[in-house]
Amino acid sequence: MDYLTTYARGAAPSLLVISRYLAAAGSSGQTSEQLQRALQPRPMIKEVAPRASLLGPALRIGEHLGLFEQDKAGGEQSWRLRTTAAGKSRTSNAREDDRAFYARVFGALNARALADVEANDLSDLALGIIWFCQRDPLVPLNTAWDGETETVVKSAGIRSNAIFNAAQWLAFRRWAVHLGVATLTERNSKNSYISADCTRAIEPILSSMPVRARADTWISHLLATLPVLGHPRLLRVLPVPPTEPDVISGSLAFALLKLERRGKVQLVPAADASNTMVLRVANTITRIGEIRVLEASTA
Amino acid sequence: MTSMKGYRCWESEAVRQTVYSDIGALPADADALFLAAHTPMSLEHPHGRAVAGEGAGERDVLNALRESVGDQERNTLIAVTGGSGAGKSHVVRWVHANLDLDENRYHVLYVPRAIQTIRELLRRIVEGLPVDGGQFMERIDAAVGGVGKDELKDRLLEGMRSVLTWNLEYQQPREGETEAEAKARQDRNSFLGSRDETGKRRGGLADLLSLEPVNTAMLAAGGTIDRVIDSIFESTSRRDGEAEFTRSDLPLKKAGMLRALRKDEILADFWSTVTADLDMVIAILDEAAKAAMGKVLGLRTQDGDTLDALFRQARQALKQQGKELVMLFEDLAQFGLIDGELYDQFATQPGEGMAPLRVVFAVTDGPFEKIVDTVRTRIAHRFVVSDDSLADRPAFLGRYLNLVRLGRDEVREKWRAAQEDKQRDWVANACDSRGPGGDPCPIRQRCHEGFGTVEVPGLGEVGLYPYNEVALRRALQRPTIQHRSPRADLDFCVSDALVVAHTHIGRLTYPPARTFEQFEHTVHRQRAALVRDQTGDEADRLYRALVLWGDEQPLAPIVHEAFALPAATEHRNAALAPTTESAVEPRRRRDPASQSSPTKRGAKNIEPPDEKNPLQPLFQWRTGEPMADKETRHYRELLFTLVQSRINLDEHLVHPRTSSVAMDMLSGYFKKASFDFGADAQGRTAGAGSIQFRLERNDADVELLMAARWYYDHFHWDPDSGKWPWPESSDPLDLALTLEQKLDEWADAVVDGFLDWFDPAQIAKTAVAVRTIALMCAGVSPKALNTLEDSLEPLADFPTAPAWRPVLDPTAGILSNPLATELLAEFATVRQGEGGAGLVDAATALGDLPAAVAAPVAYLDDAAKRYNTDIPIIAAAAKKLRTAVVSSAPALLEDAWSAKDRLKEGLSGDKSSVVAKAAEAIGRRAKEANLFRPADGYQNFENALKTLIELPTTVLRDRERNPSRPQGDTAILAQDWASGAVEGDAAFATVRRAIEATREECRRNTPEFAELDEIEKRIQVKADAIRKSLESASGAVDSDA
Repeated sequence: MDYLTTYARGAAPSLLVISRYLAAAGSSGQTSEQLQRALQPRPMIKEVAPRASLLGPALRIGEHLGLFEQDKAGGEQSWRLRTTAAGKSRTSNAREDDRAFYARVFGALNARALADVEANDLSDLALGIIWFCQRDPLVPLNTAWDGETETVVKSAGIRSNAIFNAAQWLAFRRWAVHLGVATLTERNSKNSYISADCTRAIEPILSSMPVRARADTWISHLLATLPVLGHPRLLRVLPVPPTEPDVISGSLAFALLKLERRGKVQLVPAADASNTMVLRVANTITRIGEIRVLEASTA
Repeated sequence: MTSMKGYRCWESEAVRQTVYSDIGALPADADALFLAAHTPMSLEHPHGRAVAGEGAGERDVLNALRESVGDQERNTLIAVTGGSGAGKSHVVRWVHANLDLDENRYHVLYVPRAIQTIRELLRRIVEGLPVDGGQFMERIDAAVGGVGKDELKDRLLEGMRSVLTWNLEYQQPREGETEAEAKARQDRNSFLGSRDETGKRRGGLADLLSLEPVNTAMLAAGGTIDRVIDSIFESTSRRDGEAEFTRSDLPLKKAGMLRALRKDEILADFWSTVTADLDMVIAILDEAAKAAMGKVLGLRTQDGDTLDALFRQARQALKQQGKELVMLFEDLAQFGLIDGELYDQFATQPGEGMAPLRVVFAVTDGPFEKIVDTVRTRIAHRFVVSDDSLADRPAFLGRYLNLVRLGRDEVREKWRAAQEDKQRDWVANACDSRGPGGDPCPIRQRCHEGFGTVEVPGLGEVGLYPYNEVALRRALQRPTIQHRSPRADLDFCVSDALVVAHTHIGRLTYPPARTFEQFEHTVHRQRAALVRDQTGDEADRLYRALVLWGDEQPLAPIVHEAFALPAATEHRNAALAPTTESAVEPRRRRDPASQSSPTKRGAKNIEPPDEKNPLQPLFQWRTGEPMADKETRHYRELLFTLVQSRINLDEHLVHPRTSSVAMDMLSGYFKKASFDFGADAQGRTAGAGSIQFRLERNDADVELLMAARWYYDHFHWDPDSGKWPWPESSDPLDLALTLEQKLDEWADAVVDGFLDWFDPAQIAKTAVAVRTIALMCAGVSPKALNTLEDSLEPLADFPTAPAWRPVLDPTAGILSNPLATELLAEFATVRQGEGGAGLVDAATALGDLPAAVAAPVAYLDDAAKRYNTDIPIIAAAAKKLRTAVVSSAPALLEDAWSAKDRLKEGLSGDKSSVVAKAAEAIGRRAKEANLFRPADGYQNFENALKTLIELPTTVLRDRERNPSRPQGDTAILAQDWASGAVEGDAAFATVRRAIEATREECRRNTPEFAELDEIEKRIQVKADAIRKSLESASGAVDSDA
């Protein structure tokens, strides 16, 4: 599945809007034309073929992620939600609702990743995220494609099968930020940087994590849920895999330290070397033996 | 070994007893203290003949005085000038203390600054002269004795008026005066007023002083006259300028002034010139006050002794005795308003009958410039004491440190012994002699090594304790000082600081926060780098000591010991250093395998940073200093920019763009001023309706600001690749975590707050709902509004019911305005890049439609109230439409129901289209027969027929009236039939009128037409007969065929 090429116009907020509409429409499916009329009203949006707009790619991506399904039985094809939770109505906290949705999208992406890699059909987006999350969070990348960023991507060996031009880089950035594995900081258009930081991606699943566990157990659990953050099986698909597979580095290590600062988890130092898990960010390593969840998001 | 903990080698009482920074406060008999504390000065000698051994400081003044002795032809005036606190009086005092003239040849009149009242001053002079001045003093006492203060004040003011009216002379042109000088002279003269025929001045300052508001202001408590009169009786600390008027003596902003001036046009004009040249006016008032003061005090009288007479008598007597009169004035400014009498003497040269004067006086620079020319031109020497005259401040202060250690009694004792033994260097060094049995202080060596010493001429090495070199420098460079002078330094560094130090060292609480604030406390390092991980009062105290005594470097151990300071903690870099022998593995450490920082952008040589560290103002702010405006602006700017870039509202389908409603809302909610640096920061902080983030003066927020500044300037965390030096003792990961954590927190707070405060989804819903109501007002049935597209479609046709016309204007306003689509695009869409909306969140946007359709008026009402502030254009549109609907609804409903009933009755159960077609046939035939009436009304008739033909059948459907429903709602919901009913009714009426008029025309022109129905029947019969005959004929033909 090429999220970043054929379906480059697809984006997480589009999935949110479609999900929300399909949820409101109830069990009756919606044809593409109906969705187009509903979500792209002519007085606002110039009529183009669904495929050329944001709608078509989003429907295909949603289908790939298992959020939507097509009812092909009985004449005209119609779309409906595969899981009702994907489009549940807003609660009193709109931000949490939206974030929870994006977390589910990220969860869906992760849910496919391991299976896809076994089938040798890993999506370009998943591959890009696996690579990006291994990057040093203290070395942000310029959001401009030309120059250093292009070189970095090229040297990572994913240029040919994930991100090979500015349009794909733009689409990737969009996904990375929406799925909570990147943060943006910018001073102006020339000084705009993206950093690997999966804190937002992890925070919503803390409630499903062991409240207290050995660090290696806890992280294994985490990577089973969100494998693109560094599951060994997925790391192996990187053209330039990490040199220290036993060390938790990059975005995940940074996120755990950040969550500790935020008071969400406690990283307990190792009592002895045998149970030690190593987190590495830049040239600093942190040895932990146990992870405790102190406060989990309810989203 | 004797501990220095809490050690003090002086007593607070000794400070008070021995240190007199103001020579005016030093008792006249305190020569021992004076000389013990005296530090030789270097003086300038800008005017006067060179004296022997020139360059010997205050001794030059003494020599100048000595060299003039014997000159019987002229007086000798020696001025010692300088700034306030520079030590001028000290010089005069020293001259007096060292004046060893032969009493048989000289009479010395010494006037110390210690004299505090004018009366005492006069008494001192009179008693110092070799004449009987008893009568003079009795008259002075009589003049001011038994008279209340207020009366004396009034006497002075009236005396000033009298002087201004009669005595002050107009200034005459001077030869060679410049244009400016001429103008100033003319202005001065004009301020005095013009003389009338009696010689009395009118229209000048004298008259102005009698004006009630001016009079009251001049006599006000705390004013110059009040202070001058006080100085006659009370011991006040008189300083330069206290006897001079200021702007505050005039009622420049008093409410009653304009009212008072209305009564006198000439004075009103005069007042405007006064306010335009206040400096000149004040100078004239000063001149008048001086002239009047003599009268008030009784100095000048027609009969009896005057001060001038007493001086003359004294000089004559001294002349006869072959003596000279030596006068030493520690501060000429003491004479203030009565200096005229003194100056007269200075100007009166000796002669056959008068002894010469030898005068040494100290005066500050300002008053010196004002000394009348007759005196100033006669000054033989002028010595200047500059603030640099005691350039070696540490030595100057060291002498006082020694003095307070010795204490008053010991100094006096040594002085007495020295007098007897004729010793010159009689002052002891306390460090060398305060030990048991006169031995050196037992901790002298450790103290001197740890705290340092200063070389004091005549004393040797004097310990700086409780200062060290750094602390003394910081005390001398204190920020609170307004005018640097030896007196000010002595006041602060010894009189104040040693008392504070005595108390707090004893309590083991030294240095207190006050000391930190008072000393120069510029810092260059982050506080946490010095006292990392230490908190509380002791950490604060340690930090203060590290700054003030250590310049942010480690302190000598004995400083820790003396002040009982906690040990400084090793900073984090040490903790992060690789450890190989530690028994306990630290949780976090630098990776020893990592030779180069992976934070680097690439292998390169480490270049030293180009720019200097910009964080110093931040560190200074941490100490309690206000942050410079420029710095505050910069930090606000960078924090705002970094947080703003992290505000990801597009994931919530909100898109603040330039010049959009969403942007206005966001920029009103989150702004640079949202970052609050405290009450002393530049600019106002964001007010109500805006989010605020408080930055505190604590280590955490300083680290945050440090991290933000670094990242904003570099966008990486590589310490070796900065434009400016990496913050010492800071770990890149820590700084990154600190910043990232806070940026997330703040961005979340902005997003949460923005979404909660403005509820963008509700804005989208309201925009759609209001437009939908407008469509309903325009006659669109709610049943036709099923999708978002239905609600957004443009509408061209509007209903025409007259009673509903007021509603059409606001309806058209809403429907023609793209606001709804714009708001939708901003608050409920998916966008990508710079393009417009790509997908609309229809499920959300349509959310309010049921409520809006069910109760449109209430919905409009609610929308108008809800968005009155945030989106006034929505509020105004909703309010306007609601108002029009509510006011039009009753008439519209009445018209509609009536029309429907009439129409229904007129149609008698037939469809309107059927009736219309029948009427059309009649009308057409009548028109062909030229019988249609009104003759010019056929077009209207046709239009009416068209309306009836097209009239929806739903218009005439039976409906239940619901009296409990608001009429406005009913009217809006009735628009799908109401206007049709009214239009149909009108059309039916038009048709009916035409048919009736046509019928009448037919009746008039055709007798048989009397009964139309009969004719029709006859026609029908005939027609039937014709048809039958035709049919039979046809049948015959067919048969035939």
